[in-house]
Amino acid sequence: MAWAASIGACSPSAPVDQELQKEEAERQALIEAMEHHPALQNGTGDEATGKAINVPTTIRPKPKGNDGHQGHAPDPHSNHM
Amino acid sequence: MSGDFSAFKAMAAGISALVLVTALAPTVSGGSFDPMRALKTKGGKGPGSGSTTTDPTPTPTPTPTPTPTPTPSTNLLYPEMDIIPSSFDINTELTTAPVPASALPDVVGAFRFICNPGHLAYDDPIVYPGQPGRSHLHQFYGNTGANADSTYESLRTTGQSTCMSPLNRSAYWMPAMLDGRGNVVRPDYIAIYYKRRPQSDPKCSLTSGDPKAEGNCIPLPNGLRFVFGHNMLNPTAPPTGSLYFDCQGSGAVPGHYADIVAAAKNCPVGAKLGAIIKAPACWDGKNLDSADHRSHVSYAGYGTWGYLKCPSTHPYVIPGFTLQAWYTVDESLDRSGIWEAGKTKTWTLSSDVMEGMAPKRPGTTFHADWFGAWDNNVMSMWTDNCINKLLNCSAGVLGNGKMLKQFSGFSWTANPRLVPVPSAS
Repeated sequence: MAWAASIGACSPSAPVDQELQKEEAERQALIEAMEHHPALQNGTGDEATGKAINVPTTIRPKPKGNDGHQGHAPDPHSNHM
Repeated sequence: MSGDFSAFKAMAAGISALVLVTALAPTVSGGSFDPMRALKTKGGKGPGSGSTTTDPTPTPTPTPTPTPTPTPSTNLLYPEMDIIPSSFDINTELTTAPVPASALPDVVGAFRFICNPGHLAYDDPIVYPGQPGRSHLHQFYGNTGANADSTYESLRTTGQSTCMSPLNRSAYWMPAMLDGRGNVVRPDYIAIYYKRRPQSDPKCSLTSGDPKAEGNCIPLPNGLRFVFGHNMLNPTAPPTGSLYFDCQGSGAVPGHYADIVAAAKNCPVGAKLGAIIKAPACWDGKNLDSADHRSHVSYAGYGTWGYLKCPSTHPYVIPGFTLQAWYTVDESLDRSGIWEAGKTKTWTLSSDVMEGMAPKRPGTTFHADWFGAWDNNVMSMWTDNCINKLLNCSAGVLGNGKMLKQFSGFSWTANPRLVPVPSAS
Protein backbone atom coordinates (compact mmCIF):
# COMPACT_ATOMS: atom_id res chain seq x y z
CA MET A 1 0.00 0.00 0.00
CA ALA A 2 2.96 2.28 0.49
CA TRP A 3 3.67 2.24 -3.24
CA ALA A 4 0.06 3.25 -3.96
CA ALA A 5 0.41 6.17 -1.59
CA SER A 6 3.61 7.31 -3.26
CA ILE A 7 1.98 7.12 -6.69
CA GLY A 8 -0.83 9.25 -5.37
CA ALA A 9 1.67 11.75 -4.06
CA CYS A 10 3.17 12.01 -7.53
CA SER A 11 -0.17 12.46 -9.27
CA PRO A 12 -0.52 15.47 -11.60
CA SER A 13 -2.95 17.12 -9.21
CA ALA A 14 -0.53 17.15 -6.27
CA PRO A 15 1.60 20.13 -7.44
CA VAL A 16 -1.56 22.09 -8.30
CA ASP A 17 -3.04 21.35 -4.88
CA GLN A 18 0.19 22.47 -3.23
CA GLU A 19 0.15 25.66 -5.22
CA LEU A 20 -3.47 26.30 -4.26
CA GLN A 21 -2.66 25.74 -0.62
CA LYS A 22 0.34 28.07 -0.80
CA GLU A 23 -1.70 30.79 -2.47
CA GLU A 24 -4.50 30.52 0.04
CA ALA A 25 -2.04 30.51 2.93
CA GLU A 26 -0.50 33.72 1.58
CA ARG A 27 -3.91 35.36 1.24
CA GLN A 28 -4.93 34.32 4.75
CA ALA A 29 -1.65 35.62 6.14
CA LEU A 30 -2.32 39.00 4.50
CA ILE A 31 -5.87 39.07 5.86
CA GLU A 32 -4.58 38.28 9.31
CA ALA A 33 -1.92 40.96 9.06
CA MET A 34 -4.54 43.51 7.98
CA GLU A 35 -6.82 42.48 10.81
CA HIS A 36 -3.94 43.25 13.15
CA HIS A 37 -3.29 46.67 11.61
CA PRO A 38 -3.37 49.11 14.52
CA ALA A 39 -6.10 51.13 12.79
CA LEU A 40 -8.41 48.15 12.91
CA GLN A 41 -7.90 47.47 16.59
CA ASN A 42 -10.90 48.70 18.52
CA GLY A 43 -10.21 51.78 20.58
CA THR A 44 -6.45 51.81 20.17
CA GLY A 45 -5.79 52.61 16.53
CA ASP A 46 -6.33 56.35 16.18
CA GLU A 47 -2.68 57.12 15.51
CA ALA A 48 -2.59 54.53 12.75
CA THR A 49 -5.86 55.63 11.17
CA GLY A 50 -5.86 57.90 8.18
CA LYS A 51 -8.58 60.24 7.05
CA ALA A 52 -11.97 58.99 5.96
CA ILE A 53 -12.39 58.77 2.21
CA ASN A 54 -15.35 59.49 -0.02
CA VAL A 55 -16.09 56.82 -2.61
CA PRO A 56 -19.02 57.68 -4.86
CA THR A 57 -21.22 54.69 -5.60
CA THR A 58 -23.48 56.34 -8.12
CA ILE A 59 -22.45 55.93 -11.70
CA ARG A 60 -22.65 58.66 -14.30
CA PRO A 61 -24.89 57.34 -17.09
CA LYS A 62 -23.11 56.36 -20.26
CA PRO A 63 -23.74 58.91 -23.01
CA LYS A 64 -26.04 57.60 -25.75
CA GLY A 65 -24.23 56.35 -28.80
CA ASN A 66 -21.16 55.32 -26.86
CA ASP A 67 -21.29 51.57 -26.79
CA GLY A 68 -17.96 51.15 -25.06
CA HIS A 69 -16.90 48.89 -27.91
CA GLN A 70 -13.20 48.39 -27.63
CA GLY A 71 -12.87 46.64 -30.94
CA HIS A 72 -11.33 49.72 -32.47
CA ALA A 73 -7.65 50.40 -32.00
CA PRO A 74 -7.09 53.63 -30.11
CA ASP A 75 -5.39 56.58 -31.71
CA PRO A 76 -1.82 56.17 -30.45
CA HIS A 77 -1.34 59.90 -30.55
CA SER A 78 -4.22 60.49 -28.21
CA ASN A 79 -2.29 59.14 -25.25
CA HIS A 80 -1.04 61.76 -22.88
CA MET A 81 0.79 61.81 -19.61
CA MET B 1 47.01 78.07 -19.97
CA SER B 2 48.59 74.68 -19.25
CA GLY B 3 47.57 75.11 -15.61
CA ASP B 4 44.00 75.86 -16.63
CA PHE B 5 43.94 72.80 -18.89
CA SER B 6 45.30 70.58 -16.10
CA ALA B 7 42.56 71.82 -13.81
CA PHE B 8 39.99 71.14 -16.53
CA LYS B 9 41.28 67.59 -16.98
CA ALA B 10 41.09 67.02 -13.25
CA MET B 11 37.54 68.32 -13.16
CA ALA B 12 36.53 66.17 -16.12
CA ALA B 13 38.08 63.11 -14.51
CA GLY B 14 36.23 63.87 -11.31
CA ILE B 15 32.92 64.19 -13.09
CA SER B 16 33.53 60.96 -14.98
CA ALA B 17 34.33 59.17 -11.76
CA LEU B 18 31.19 60.55 -10.17
CA VAL B 19 29.09 59.28 -13.06
CA LEU B 20 30.76 55.87 -12.91
CA VAL B 21 30.33 55.56 -9.14
CA THR B 22 26.76 56.71 -9.38
CA ALA B 23 25.98 54.09 -12.01
CA LEU B 24 27.67 51.26 -10.15
CA ALA B 25 26.94 52.10 -6.51
CA PRO B 26 24.51 49.76 -4.77
CA THR B 27 21.22 51.17 -3.63
CA VAL B 28 21.46 52.69 -0.17
CA SER B 29 18.84 51.28 2.16
CA GLY B 30 16.18 53.54 3.59
CA GLY B 31 15.21 55.01 0.29
CA SER B 32 17.40 58.08 0.59
CA PHE B 33 19.52 57.42 -2.48
CA ASP B 34 18.78 55.51 -5.60
CA PRO B 35 21.59 55.40 -8.15
CA MET B 36 19.06 54.50 -10.77
CA ARG B 37 17.37 57.87 -10.24
CA ALA B 38 20.51 59.81 -9.32
CA LEU B 39 20.71 61.45 -12.69
CA LYS B 40 17.51 62.17 -14.59
CA THR B 41 16.61 64.56 -17.33
CA LYS B 42 14.28 67.27 -16.03
CA GLY B 43 10.92 67.22 -17.79
CA GLY B 44 11.59 63.74 -19.03
CA LYS B 45 8.76 61.98 -20.73
CA GLY B 46 8.31 58.59 -22.26
CA PRO B 47 10.91 58.35 -24.96
CA GLY B 48 11.09 56.08 -27.88
CA SER B 49 11.85 58.56 -30.61
CA GLY B 50 12.33 56.58 -33.75
CA SER B 51 10.52 53.56 -32.38
CA THR B 52 7.18 52.34 -33.60
CA THR B 53 5.66 52.34 -30.14
CA THR B 54 3.72 55.21 -28.74
CA ASP B 55 5.54 57.94 -26.91
CA PRO B 56 3.28 59.42 -24.27
CA THR B 57 2.87 63.04 -25.25
CA PRO B 58 2.35 65.62 -22.54
CA THR B 59 -0.79 67.69 -22.81
CA PRO B 60 -1.70 70.74 -20.84
CA THR B 61 -3.51 69.80 -17.68
CA PRO B 62 -5.94 72.37 -16.29
CA THR B 63 -4.97 72.82 -12.66
CA PRO B 64 -6.96 75.50 -10.88
CA THR B 65 -5.23 74.53 -7.64
CA PRO B 66 -1.52 75.08 -7.35
CA THR B 67 0.54 71.95 -7.74
CA PRO B 68 3.88 71.40 -6.07
CA THR B 69 6.97 72.07 -8.11
CA PRO B 70 8.28 68.75 -9.36
CA THR B 71 11.66 67.85 -7.93
CA PRO B 72 14.06 67.82 -10.86
CA SER B 73 15.97 64.59 -11.25
CA THR B 74 17.92 62.89 -13.97
CA ASN B 75 18.22 59.23 -14.85
CA LEU B 76 20.94 58.11 -17.23
CA LEU B 77 19.79 54.51 -17.29
CA TYR B 78 16.17 54.76 -18.37
CA PRO B 79 13.60 57.46 -18.95
CA GLU B 80 10.74 58.19 -16.60
CA MET B 81 8.51 61.04 -15.53
CA ASP B 82 9.83 63.60 -13.08
CA ILE B 83 9.26 62.92 -9.42
CA ILE B 84 6.17 64.71 -8.13
CA PRO B 85 6.19 64.89 -4.33
CA SER B 86 2.97 64.29 -2.44
CA SER B 87 1.07 67.48 -1.70
CA PHE B 88 1.05 66.68 2.01
CA ASP B 89 3.50 65.64 4.71
CA ILE B 90 3.97 61.93 4.07
CA ASN B 91 4.70 61.35 7.76
CA THR B 92 1.05 62.10 8.51
CA GLU B 93 0.21 58.94 6.58
CA LEU B 94 2.78 56.68 8.21
CA THR B 95 2.79 54.91 11.55
CA THR B 96 5.27 52.65 13.31
CA ALA B 97 5.53 48.95 12.63
CA PRO B 98 7.95 46.15 13.48
CA VAL B 99 10.40 45.11 10.81
CA PRO B 100 8.94 41.92 9.32
CA ALA B 101 10.57 38.55 8.97
CA SER B 102 12.60 37.44 5.99
CA ALA B 103 10.72 36.15 2.96
CA LEU B 104 13.05 33.12 2.80
CA PRO B 105 12.82 30.48 1.44
CA ASP B 106 11.14 32.58 -1.25
CA VAL B 107 13.65 34.23 -3.57
CA VAL B 108 11.54 37.36 -3.93
CA GLY B 109 10.76 40.07 -1.42
CA ALA B 110 7.09 40.93 -1.05
CA PHE B 111 5.05 44.03 -0.28
CA ARG B 112 1.33 43.40 0.17
CA PHE B 113 -1.77 45.39 1.06
CA ILE B 114 -5.56 45.29 0.74
CA CYS B 115 -7.81 47.81 -0.99
CA ASN B 116 -11.52 48.45 -0.80
CA PRO B 117 -13.45 48.89 -4.05
CA GLY B 118 -13.53 52.42 -5.33
CA HIS B 119 -15.74 54.14 -7.85
CA LEU B 120 -17.31 52.83 -11.03
CA ALA B 121 -17.05 54.67 -14.33
CA TYR B 122 -17.28 54.20 -18.06
CA ASP B 123 -13.81 55.68 -18.27
CA ASP B 124 -10.36 54.40 -19.18
CA PRO B 125 -7.50 56.91 -18.90
CA ILE B 126 -5.10 54.58 -20.72
CA VAL B 127 -7.13 53.27 -23.66
CA TYR B 128 -9.50 56.23 -24.02
CA PRO B 129 -7.70 59.21 -22.52
CA GLY B 130 -9.76 62.37 -22.50
CA GLN B 131 -12.84 60.50 -23.69
CA PRO B 132 -15.24 60.10 -20.75
CA GLY B 133 -17.94 57.50 -21.18
CA ARG B 134 -16.19 55.73 -24.03
CA SER B 135 -15.26 52.54 -22.24
CA HIS B 136 -17.18 49.58 -20.85
CA LEU B 137 -17.95 49.94 -17.17
CA HIS B 138 -14.85 49.74 -14.99
CA GLN B 139 -14.43 49.05 -11.28
CA PHE B 140 -11.65 51.25 -9.96
CA TYR B 141 -9.38 50.71 -6.99
CA GLY B 142 -6.81 53.03 -5.50
CA ASN B 143 -7.02 56.66 -6.61
CA THR B 144 -10.59 57.79 -6.03
CA GLY B 145 -10.30 60.53 -8.62
CA ALA B 146 -9.13 58.41 -11.54
CA ASN B 147 -11.13 59.14 -14.68
CA ALA B 148 -10.77 59.56 -18.41
CA ASP B 149 -8.78 62.77 -17.96
CA SER B 150 -6.26 61.36 -15.50
CA THR B 151 -2.60 61.90 -16.18
CA TYR B 152 0.47 61.04 -14.14
CA GLU B 153 0.50 64.58 -12.85
CA SER B 154 -3.17 64.58 -11.87
CA LEU B 155 -2.94 61.18 -10.19
CA ARG B 156 0.12 62.27 -8.22
CA THR B 157 -1.50 65.44 -6.98
CA THR B 158 -5.19 64.66 -6.49
CA GLY B 159 -7.49 61.99 -5.16
CA GLN B 160 -7.77 59.89 -2.06
CA SER B 161 -7.03 56.17 -2.17
CA THR B 162 -8.94 53.02 -1.35
CA CYS B 163 -5.59 51.23 -1.08
CA MET B 164 -4.91 52.14 2.53
CA SER B 165 -3.42 55.61 2.03
CA PRO B 166 -3.02 58.43 -0.52
CA LEU B 167 0.69 57.63 -0.42
CA ASN B 168 -0.41 55.17 -3.10
CA ARG B 169 -2.33 57.26 -5.61
CA SER B 170 -1.89 54.65 -8.31
CA ALA B 171 -5.05 53.67 -10.16
CA TYR B 172 -5.96 50.04 -10.70
CA TRP B 173 -9.08 49.05 -12.61
CA MET B 174 -10.83 46.10 -14.24
CA PRO B 175 -14.22 45.40 -15.84
CA ALA B 176 -17.09 45.68 -13.42
CA MET B 177 -18.80 42.47 -12.33
CA LEU B 178 -22.47 42.45 -13.37
CA ASP B 179 -25.02 40.09 -11.82
CA GLY B 180 -27.26 39.80 -14.86
CA ARG B 181 -30.12 41.41 -12.95
CA GLY B 182 -29.19 45.02 -13.53
CA ASN B 183 -26.64 45.39 -10.76
CA VAL B 184 -22.93 45.76 -10.38
CA VAL B 185 -21.46 43.38 -7.82
CA ARG B 186 -18.73 45.27 -5.98
CA PRO B 187 -15.86 43.18 -4.62
CA ASP B 188 -15.46 43.04 -0.88
CA TYR B 189 -11.74 43.66 -1.07
CA ILE B 190 -8.79 43.47 -3.41
CA ALA B 191 -5.47 41.95 -2.35
CA ILE B 192 -2.35 43.28 -4.10
CA TYR B 193 1.14 41.79 -3.82
CA TYR B 194 4.26 43.45 -5.33
CA LYS B 195 7.21 41.08 -5.63
CA ARG B 196 10.69 41.01 -7.15
CA ARG B 197 14.12 39.57 -6.46
CA PRO B 198 16.41 41.76 -4.34
CA GLN B 199 18.72 43.98 -6.35
CA SER B 200 21.72 42.24 -4.76
CA ASP B 201 20.61 38.92 -6.25
CA PRO B 202 23.02 37.97 -9.08
CA LYS B 203 19.97 37.10 -11.14
CA CYS B 204 18.98 40.77 -10.93
CA SER B 205 21.74 41.87 -13.28
CA LEU B 206 22.58 40.80 -16.82
CA THR B 207 26.22 41.72 -16.14
CA SER B 208 26.62 39.91 -12.82
CA GLY B 209 28.13 36.86 -14.43
CA ASP B 210 25.17 34.69 -13.48
CA PRO B 211 24.32 32.82 -16.69
CA LYS B 212 20.71 32.55 -15.57
CA ALA B 213 20.04 36.18 -14.79
CA GLU B 214 16.43 37.28 -15.09
CA GLY B 215 17.19 40.84 -16.18
CA ASN B 216 18.27 44.17 -14.75
CA CYS B 217 16.19 44.88 -11.66
CA ILE B 218 14.92 48.43 -11.17
CA PRO B 219 12.14 50.15 -9.20
CA LEU B 220 8.86 51.00 -10.88
CA PRO B 221 9.58 53.86 -13.31
CA ASN B 222 7.55 57.01 -12.73
CA GLY B 223 4.68 57.35 -15.15
CA LEU B 224 4.49 53.74 -16.29
CA ARG B 225 1.06 52.43 -17.20
CA PHE B 226 -0.22 49.32 -18.96
CA VAL B 227 -3.06 46.93 -19.68
CA PHE B 228 -2.84 43.16 -19.18
CA GLY B 229 -4.96 40.03 -19.39
CA HIS B 230 -7.43 39.50 -22.22
CA ASN B 231 -6.64 41.73 -25.17
CA MET B 232 -9.78 43.63 -26.13
CA LEU B 233 -7.95 45.09 -29.13
CA ASN B 234 -6.83 41.66 -30.33
CA PRO B 235 -9.37 39.20 -28.91
CA THR B 236 -7.87 36.11 -30.57
CA ALA B 237 -4.48 36.62 -28.89
CA PRO B 238 -3.83 34.45 -25.83
CA PRO B 239 -4.54 36.38 -22.63
CA THR B 240 -1.59 37.43 -20.52
CA GLY B 241 -1.35 37.51 -16.76
CA SER B 242 -1.90 33.85 -15.85
CA LEU B 243 -5.43 34.85 -14.98
CA TYR B 244 -7.93 32.56 -13.35
CA PHE B 245 -10.99 32.45 -11.12
CA ASP B 246 -11.10 30.79 -7.72
CA CYS B 247 -13.53 30.10 -4.90
CA GLN B 248 -12.79 30.19 -1.19
CA GLY B 249 -14.91 29.79 1.89
CA SER B 250 -17.38 27.36 3.40
CA GLY B 251 -18.37 24.67 0.90
CA ALA B 252 -16.04 26.05 -1.79
CA VAL B 253 -13.88 23.91 -4.03
CA PRO B 254 -10.76 26.01 -4.65
CA GLY B 255 -9.11 25.83 -8.02
CA HIS B 256 -7.66 27.66 -10.98
CA TYR B 257 -10.80 27.98 -13.08
CA ALA B 258 -10.65 29.39 -16.59
CA ASP B 259 -13.85 31.38 -16.33
CA ILE B 260 -16.69 32.39 -14.05
CA VAL B 261 -18.93 29.52 -15.20
CA ALA B 262 -16.43 26.88 -14.12
CA ALA B 263 -15.66 28.62 -10.84
CA ALA B 264 -19.32 29.19 -10.04
CA LYS B 265 -20.04 25.47 -10.16
CA ASN B 266 -17.76 25.14 -7.17
CA CYS B 267 -18.81 28.27 -5.32
CA PRO B 268 -21.85 28.17 -3.01
CA VAL B 269 -23.81 31.16 -1.81
CA GLY B 270 -21.86 32.92 0.91
CA ALA B 271 -18.44 31.83 -0.36
CA LYS B 272 -16.16 34.23 -2.18
CA LEU B 273 -15.48 34.18 -5.90
CA GLY B 274 -11.98 35.40 -6.73
CA ALA B 275 -10.65 36.95 -9.94
CA ILE B 276 -6.85 36.75 -9.99
CA ILE B 277 -4.40 38.21 -12.50
CA LYS B 278 -0.67 38.99 -12.65
CA ALA B 279 0.79 42.19 -14.00
CA PRO B 280 3.81 42.15 -16.31
CA ALA B 281 7.21 42.50 -14.63
CA CYS B 282 9.51 43.03 -17.61
CA TRP B 283 9.90 46.50 -19.17
CA ASP B 284 11.56 47.64 -22.38
CA GLY B 285 13.29 50.49 -20.60
CA LYS B 286 12.22 52.95 -23.28
CA ASN B 287 8.48 53.54 -23.30
CA LEU B 288 6.07 54.37 -20.51
CA ASP B 289 3.21 53.38 -22.83
CA SER B 290 2.75 51.92 -26.28
CA ALA B 291 0.13 51.89 -29.03
CA ASP B 292 -1.53 48.75 -27.68
CA HIS B 293 -0.65 49.65 -24.06
CA ARG B 294 1.02 46.23 -23.68
CA SER B 295 4.04 46.00 -25.99
CA HIS B 296 6.32 48.06 -23.76
CA VAL B 297 5.98 45.45 -21.00
CA SER B 298 6.22 41.69 -20.98
CA TYR B 299 6.42 38.62 -18.81
CA ALA B 300 9.42 36.54 -17.81
CA GLY B 301 9.32 33.00 -19.11
CA TYR B 302 11.25 29.75 -19.18
CA GLY B 303 11.19 29.37 -22.96
CA THR B 304 13.66 26.88 -24.37
CA TRP B 305 16.45 28.05 -22.05
CA GLY B 306 14.97 26.54 -18.90
CA TYR B 307 15.14 29.40 -16.41
CA LEU B 308 13.01 32.45 -15.71
CA LYS B 309 14.14 35.35 -17.84
CA CYS B 310 12.73 38.54 -19.25
CA PRO B 311 12.81 38.77 -23.06
CA SER B 312 15.89 40.51 -24.44
CA THR B 313 13.54 43.18 -25.79
CA HIS B 314 12.38 43.89 -22.22
CA PRO B 315 15.53 43.55 -20.13
CA TYR B 316 14.38 45.49 -17.06
CA VAL B 317 12.74 43.62 -14.18
CA ILE B 318 10.28 45.76 -12.23
CA PRO B 319 8.31 44.78 -9.13
CA GLY B 320 5.37 42.87 -10.59
CA PHE B 321 2.07 42.70 -8.78
CA THR B 322 -0.72 40.18 -8.49
CA LEU B 323 -4.24 41.53 -8.14
CA GLN B 324 -7.01 39.47 -6.53
CA ALA B 325 -10.61 40.74 -6.40
CA TRP B 326 -12.94 38.82 -4.09
CA TYR B 327 -16.75 38.91 -4.39
CA THR B 328 -19.34 37.45 -2.02
CA VAL B 329 -21.48 34.96 -3.95
CA ASP B 330 -25.25 35.29 -3.88
CA GLU B 331 -28.08 33.41 -5.57
CA SER B 332 -27.80 35.45 -8.75
CA LEU B 333 -24.65 33.54 -9.70
CA ASP B 334 -25.72 30.55 -11.81
CA ARG B 335 -23.91 27.55 -10.42
CA SER B 336 -25.01 24.91 -12.95
CA GLY B 337 -21.71 24.94 -14.81
CA ILE B 338 -23.67 25.45 -18.01
CA TRP B 339 -23.80 28.68 -19.99
CA GLU B 340 -25.78 29.43 -23.09
CA ALA B 341 -25.18 32.74 -24.78
CA GLY B 342 -28.19 34.99 -24.49
CA LYS B 343 -30.05 32.53 -22.30
CA THR B 344 -28.21 31.97 -19.04
CA LYS B 345 -28.64 34.80 -16.58
CA THR B 346 -25.57 34.94 -14.39
CA TRP B 347 -22.56 37.03 -13.44
CA THR B 348 -20.49 38.45 -16.25
CA LEU B 349 -17.77 41.01 -16.58
CA SER B 350 -18.90 44.21 -18.27
CA SER B 351 -16.48 43.45 -21.10
CA ASP B 352 -18.03 40.00 -21.70
CA VAL B 353 -21.24 41.48 -23.01
CA MET B 354 -20.93 44.57 -25.14
CA GLU B 355 -23.25 46.15 -27.65
CA GLY B 356 -22.62 45.02 -31.19
CA MET B 357 -20.60 41.99 -30.11
CA ALA B 358 -21.63 38.39 -29.46
CA PRO B 359 -21.69 37.64 -25.72
CA LYS B 360 -18.52 36.05 -24.49
CA ARG B 361 -18.41 33.23 -21.98
CA PRO B 362 -18.45 34.94 -18.56
CA GLY B 363 -15.01 35.88 -17.35
CA THR B 364 -13.17 35.19 -20.59
CA THR B 365 -12.51 38.88 -21.26
CA PHE B 366 -10.95 39.41 -17.83
CA HIS B 367 -8.26 42.08 -18.02
CA ALA B 368 -6.93 44.84 -15.81
CA ASP B 369 -5.21 48.20 -16.06
CA TRP B 370 -2.66 50.01 -13.93
CA PHE B 371 -1.45 53.60 -13.90
CA GLY B 372 1.35 53.98 -11.35
CA ALA B 373 1.37 57.01 -9.06
CA TRP B 374 3.15 56.05 -5.85
CA ASP B 375 4.77 58.66 -3.65
CA ASN B 376 8.43 58.17 -4.57
CA ASN B 377 9.74 58.31 -1.02
CA VAL B 378 7.31 55.63 0.10
CA MET B 379 7.86 53.52 -2.97
CA SER B 380 11.57 53.65 -2.22
CA MET B 381 10.84 52.50 1.32
CA TRP B 382 9.10 49.29 0.27
CA THR B 383 11.41 48.71 -2.69
CA ASP B 384 14.58 49.21 -0.68
CA ASN B 385 13.38 47.20 2.29
CA CYS B 386 10.60 44.72 1.52
CA ILE B 387 11.98 43.90 -1.94
CA ASN B 388 15.72 44.51 -1.75
CA LYS B 389 16.14 43.10 1.75
CA LEU B 390 14.00 40.05 0.88
CA LEU B 391 11.39 40.74 3.55
CA ASN B 392 7.87 39.40 3.96
CA CYS B 393 5.85 42.62 4.21
CA SER B 394 2.07 42.62 4.59
CA ALA B 395 -0.67 45.07 5.50
CA GLY B 396 1.27 48.05 4.20
CA VAL B 397 4.36 47.39 6.31
CA LEU B 398 7.28 49.11 4.56
CA GLY B 399 10.11 47.12 6.09
CA ASN B 400 11.85 50.07 7.71
CA GLY B 401 9.93 50.33 10.96
CA LYS B 402 7.04 52.12 9.31
CA MET B 403 3.76 51.16 7.70
CA LEU B 404 0.97 52.82 5.78
CA LYS B 405 -1.90 54.19 7.82
CA GLN B 406 -5.28 52.65 7.01
CA PHE B 407 -7.98 55.10 5.91
CA SER B 408 -10.90 55.46 8.29
CA GLY B 409 -13.89 53.43 7.17
CA PHE B 410 -12.14 50.36 5.77
CA SER B 411 -14.55 47.45 5.51
CA TRP B 412 -14.09 43.74 4.87
CA THR B 413 -17.40 43.64 3.04
CA ALA B 414 -18.49 45.84 0.17
CA ASN B 415 -20.93 48.49 1.26
CA PRO B 416 -23.01 48.76 -0.80
CA ARG B 417 -22.40 45.37 -2.35
CA LEU B 418 -24.82 45.90 -5.22
CA VAL B 419 -25.18 49.09 -7.23
CA PRO B 420 -27.71 49.47 -10.05
CA VAL B 421 -26.16 49.85 -13.47
CA PRO B 422 -27.63 52.97 -15.05
CA SER B 423 -28.91 52.71 -18.57
CA ALA B 424 -27.83 55.16 -21.26
CA SER B 425 -29.09 58.70 -20.67
